[in-house]
Amino acid sequence: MATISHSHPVATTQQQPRFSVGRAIIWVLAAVGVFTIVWRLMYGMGGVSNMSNSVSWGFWIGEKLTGVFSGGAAFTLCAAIYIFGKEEFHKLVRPAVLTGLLCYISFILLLFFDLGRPERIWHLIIYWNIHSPLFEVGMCVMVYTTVLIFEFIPVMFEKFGWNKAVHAMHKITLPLMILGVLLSTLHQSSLGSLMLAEVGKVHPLWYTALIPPFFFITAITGGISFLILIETLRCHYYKQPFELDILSRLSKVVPWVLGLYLVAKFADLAYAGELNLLFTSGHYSVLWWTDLVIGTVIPLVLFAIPKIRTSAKGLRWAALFVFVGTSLMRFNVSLIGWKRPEGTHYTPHWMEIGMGVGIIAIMILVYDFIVRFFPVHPAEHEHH
Amino acid sequence: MATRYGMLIDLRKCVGCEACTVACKAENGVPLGHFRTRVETHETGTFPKVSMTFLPVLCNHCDAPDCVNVCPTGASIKREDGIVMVDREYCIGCTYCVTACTYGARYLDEEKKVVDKCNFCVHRVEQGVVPSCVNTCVADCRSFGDLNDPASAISKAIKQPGVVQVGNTSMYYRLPENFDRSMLPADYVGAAPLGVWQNLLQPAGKVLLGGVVLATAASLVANTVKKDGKEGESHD
Repeated sequence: MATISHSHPVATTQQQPRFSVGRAIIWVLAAVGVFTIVWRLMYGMGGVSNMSNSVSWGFWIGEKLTGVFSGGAAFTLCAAIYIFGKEEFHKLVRPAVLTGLLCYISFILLLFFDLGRPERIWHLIIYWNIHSPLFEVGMCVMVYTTVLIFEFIPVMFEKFGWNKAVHAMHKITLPLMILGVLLSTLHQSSLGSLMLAEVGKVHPLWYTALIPPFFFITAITGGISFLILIETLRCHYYKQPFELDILSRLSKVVPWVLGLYLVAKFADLAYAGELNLLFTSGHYSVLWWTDLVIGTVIPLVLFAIPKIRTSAKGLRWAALFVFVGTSLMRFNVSLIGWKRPEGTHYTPHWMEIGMGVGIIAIMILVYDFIVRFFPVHPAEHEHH
Repeated sequence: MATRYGMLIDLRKCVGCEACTVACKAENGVPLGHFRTRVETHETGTFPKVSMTFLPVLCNHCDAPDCVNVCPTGASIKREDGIVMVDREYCIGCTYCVTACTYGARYLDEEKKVVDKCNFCVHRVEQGVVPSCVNTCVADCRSFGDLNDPASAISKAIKQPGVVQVGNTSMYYRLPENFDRSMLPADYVGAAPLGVWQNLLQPAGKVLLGGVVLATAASLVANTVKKDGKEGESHD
């Protein structure tokens, strides 16, 4: 065990990028992202968004919440390995941490450009209001992103052959991972408590004191699903073996969590005496059922059937359902499912979507760069 | 007793001229498209017995407002004298408070790029003068003053018949006969679940976090001391 093959840099097996339509599209989207960011900095938020005082949190808030749950696999895996001792998931730690890190960076970028005064973002660190959920989110995300960087940095050291640094980092791995898991637990749920302040605005179908735990547990399932999707794409594009066995074993927990979520959703509405709203709230009811059926009911069945869970195709479809449904749930709670004063209209400005999508495209390019030049793939660090 | 400012608007007197809106905009440099006080028009009754009532609205300066609670930088404050205001030097413009306000009293100032709102003209009040809207009202329907001082004009005015308080706030309205309570801004009810999470559960989580950080730090020190030869046990 002690003879970790760090003595020489691990070669990365990826080919150099070749031209493809997909790659060209990503570059164009990234360029749109850069353009909208420059535009936003020059002409302010009014220049790039349709937000107003009645809709002062628009498309970006939904995307931010989606981005954070997508990074959930990093803490889920670390909890499984370092707290519950499931060593078999080790192979996926690097891809999961990298995915998580990029998700969080996209969250931070979006938050940054969503502020009226982005240059004052450091006020969060200096001026504390400990009662504010947003303060908590800001602090946790800041610290957790730093933790993720520390978790990922040994990969870079390994590439450059800095073995002493790698060994030094290994010493703090365990506390670092546990710290990461705790910080995630805190802020995944405080992203939910962010919405607790919106009483009377978030439709009662979604507004409940249980939003924080709901956000937390769907971050587990959503994060695992997003990791499955990302691994699918990565293995497809870089022609590497898909770790079906490990991912299926990891997904075993998903139907349990989804089941818990499903029961809790109905129990919560029943407790509040609002079950009638399920059929009487017009398009809100439709949205509620859509996010629940797509994100919870269908994948609950798919993940629960071992035959589907252990087939690559079944696993990917199930993960796609969870991801789409959970994203819709985040958008519902933070944007679409709000009761607004009459006469309020909001359609995202094309530049809002352009920046949102552009930041994702930039993250994909960063991901591509890192995967090609650093030993991220499980097969490349077989020292366990 | 400490000062606690409040406002009474007598709807029986209001003529809907909107001079208060204009005076406020001029006094506070409120940018185009935003208002700290507006005058709503309500029609009541059925033909042929109809009437129109004007309802000036502004920030109600709630007793324990969520807009202050949710501000991440503490830029939104509730002063000792009851005034709820934004410190523009601290505000980062996240607009969380704008979404949290029940009454739509807050706006993002596109010029200063920070959130702003009615602050009872705190710069005037501190000089001992009433807010600009009160000063300018042609019908003298707005009164302003110290609710805790029984001798003040407002303390006497709120004892008149027909005066209704917007619950848990510093605002009072005197209703005309044809007007019913439901047309006024609703009583303030904060987001109770927010308090439960922020004041009970999350602090518990933070204590746990602190404990684990300490424990891991301790184990790290212990492991470092007896390191060498055991290094193979570390993971990445």
